[in-house]
Amino acid sequence: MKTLIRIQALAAVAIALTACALLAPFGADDEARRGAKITLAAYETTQQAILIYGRLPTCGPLEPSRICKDAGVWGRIKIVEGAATRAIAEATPVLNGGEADAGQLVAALAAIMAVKDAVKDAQTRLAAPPPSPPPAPPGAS
Amino acid sequence: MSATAVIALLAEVVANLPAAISTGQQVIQLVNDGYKQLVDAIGDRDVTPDEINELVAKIVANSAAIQAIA
Repeated sequence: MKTLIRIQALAAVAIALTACALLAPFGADDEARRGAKITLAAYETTQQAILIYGRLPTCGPLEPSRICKDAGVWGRIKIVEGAATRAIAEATPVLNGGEADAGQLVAALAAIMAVKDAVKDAQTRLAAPPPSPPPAPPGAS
Repeated sequence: MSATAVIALLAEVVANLPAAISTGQQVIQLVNDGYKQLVDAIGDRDVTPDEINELVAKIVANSAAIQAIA
């Protein structure tokens, strides 16, 4: 699991590092597409980490120490991930030079960064120690 | 930090694969696929619109799988 957390962090870093490539001046179509491909490849890798996180069991009160996904965090990841994929799909014709940019690139980048933030939150919670069990009531053996 | 540094970081993860074996084949596959994709993406050759479209298609498929998880 430590490796999973590490990979999630790595994927987030990869997105952050390559995000600027998406916004780089598009002086040449080849350069633009190369930058776009790096960003999209990093995002696809992040999706794989999200899939692994999503397949973890949902945390429950009876199993606080088990490695599990937080239902609230997972719900947020699903929402921002769906939005990012839609934004990427809408930006694809721009990335391929078929349409002029009318804000699709910035929208896609913002959506991708929202996913990065959600994944980072999940990563933080996975790395946190499990909550302590409630104290036993007085007189309990 | 350059794309080369990203590759170096991924290579570091690959080097630590023995620690990942116990976490399952998915993690190993994730690392390998991510490494290959980034190496390929950062190469000097030109990227065609078809490659971008293919990658977007994979992202859309992955998203569908993510949304299907409860």
